[in-house]
Amino acid sequence: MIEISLKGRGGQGVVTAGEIMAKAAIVEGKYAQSIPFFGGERRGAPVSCEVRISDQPISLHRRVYNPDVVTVFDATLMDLLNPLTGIKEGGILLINTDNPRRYWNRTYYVDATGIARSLGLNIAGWAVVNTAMVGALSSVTKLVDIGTAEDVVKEEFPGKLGELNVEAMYLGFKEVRALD
Amino acid sequence: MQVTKGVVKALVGNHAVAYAVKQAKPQVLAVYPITPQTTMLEKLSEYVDRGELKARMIRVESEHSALASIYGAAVAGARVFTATASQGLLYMTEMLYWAGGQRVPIVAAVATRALASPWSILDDHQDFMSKRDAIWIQMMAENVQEAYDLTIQAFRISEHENVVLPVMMGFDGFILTHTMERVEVLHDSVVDSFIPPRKFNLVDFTDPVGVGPVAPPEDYIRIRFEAKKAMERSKRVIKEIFREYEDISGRPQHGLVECFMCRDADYVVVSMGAWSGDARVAVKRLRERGAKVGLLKVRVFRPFPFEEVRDYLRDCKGVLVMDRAYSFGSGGILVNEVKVSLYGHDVPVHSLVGGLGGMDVRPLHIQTALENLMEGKLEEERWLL
Amino acid sequence: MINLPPGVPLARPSLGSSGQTGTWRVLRPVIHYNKCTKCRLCFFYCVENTIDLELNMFPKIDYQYCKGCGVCAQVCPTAAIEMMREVK
Repeated sequence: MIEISLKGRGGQGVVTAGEIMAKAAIVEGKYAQSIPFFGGERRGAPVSCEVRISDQPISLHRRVYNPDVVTVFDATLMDLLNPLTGIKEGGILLINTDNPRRYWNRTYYVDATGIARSLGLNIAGWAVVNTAMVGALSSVTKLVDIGTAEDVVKEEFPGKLGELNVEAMYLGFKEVRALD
Repeated sequence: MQVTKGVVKALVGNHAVAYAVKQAKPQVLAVYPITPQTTMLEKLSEYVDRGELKARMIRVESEHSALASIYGAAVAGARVFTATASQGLLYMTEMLYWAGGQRVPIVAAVATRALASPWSILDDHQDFMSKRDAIWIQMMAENVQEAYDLTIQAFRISEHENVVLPVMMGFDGFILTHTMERVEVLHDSVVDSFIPPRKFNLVDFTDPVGVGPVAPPEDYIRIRFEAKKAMERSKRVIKEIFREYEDISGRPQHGLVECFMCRDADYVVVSMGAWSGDARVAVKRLRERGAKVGLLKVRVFRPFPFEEVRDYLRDCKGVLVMDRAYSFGSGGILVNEVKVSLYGHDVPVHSLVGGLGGMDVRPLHIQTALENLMEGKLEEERWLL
Repeated sequence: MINLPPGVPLARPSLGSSGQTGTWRVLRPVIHYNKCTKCRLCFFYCVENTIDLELNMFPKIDYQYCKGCGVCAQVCPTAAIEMMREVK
């Protein structure tokens, strides 16, 4: 069983990203959970979502304490939340930034905000980075196939918006890099 | 490999219940939004709006009115549904007793949530458990799949001619309502034949009667006595309907309780709701180390399965009961029921109270409590603070 | 159709199920039709619905059920209803 922690800000699409991952895994015949966390959430406030993916039925309902993968949608959260708390030895950090730093020995980065902006993926002025991050996650972890994720995104966002999001996802998939 | 007789979907708990409701085809709905139930109402409104669910959605100004209006619709012969949580359930309480006492077939989903004060939107079972005397059948789900399954079954149970009681389906707020999981949903045609249209009516419009009448003492107590008997009769009906559902779904439905590795167990943990899954993990870990432990999950809380609980637990060396609700001045609510079941049997029963106001409980907590129980080092009541 | 299980509380209303309330009366409302303007206030106020009213007709009191509460006499704007002592 793999546990992923997704951290971002209200409006970046963190919960939707978790649901796309879980849904894609379930479509592929696996078992998965996407668990959003709610406080007084609103635009800009830190938001988190956790995902479990497994070949076996999942009976856990507790929160995720030792994630295999930590995904950070906004680099400013690194100082604010300490998202690496509890990360497994050998775990992966994936971060949305254009100015990567070595936060962790296995750090991957992608400029998801740049991708979203280039495609005009804005909602009320906020770059919606979730699909680019899902693409990068798929590339780094191989947990779900990018094609399956594409189907899920198209189902979730019909029409033009879906096409843009799929494009963002493939760009995230291609542009994600490991930090040596 | 399990037989898959339905369609696999990825659904959050609220949407899974809404999907089950859509398939059960109620004709009248009245739901007032409250966290963490709101997304269920949104989904149901969507179904009604798109014509996928041919039902009347009554826009009400409160939970009290929500239940009052579907109470009327159900008396008039409609299949009905409502859903609420927490303060909403408290506000609905007066009508809950009306519906139970009047024996109106109603299905209500409760997305369990803590009660104020202090204010909290997160999960525990205090709202659900406080309604245990309202003459409602109460069932509780462990995961999204079970929330879907129990919702479908609730309509059958509620409308069964030997029961005719309202049914409340509880499932943990956020932990299930907002968590997306793999769910196998049945085909519409299968649900159609499982829940045929309602066959009877409380009132015959060609021969008018008064509903909710005043009753002199000798009638009142007799009507309450009949309600008690209906609750007792419903146990058999619920088990039959669970079995029938097992056949159409291919998923084991156990019964009023589910026994997981508990048959030969010396120490058993008893739980209800989503954290039963975490208790399952704790039990598995301890079994791997050779400890004879098991889990008894209560699926139906009212009518309480005294016989089953007694049969599974009477020969145990120790029992640990997990409570996500508390009767202040008394104790955990589930633990008290378990103690009543074991009256006359010499089994030590310990209480583990936790998860109030959304406090996360991990398999580790349960495992530690079980280990302490086996070592004889567990206090009678432990709070996970 | 199924038969309902026992214990569903339903009441079958019948004529005078709690007795004919006319026997409770101590004072009897009598309408002086020469003063009555057919305003229908007595009809609307009667708590036991014992005043019969047909369109454009004078109100008529059903003494089998009128319990003599006197509300009609109180609300009558022309004081056309008099509460008179019952003579047995």
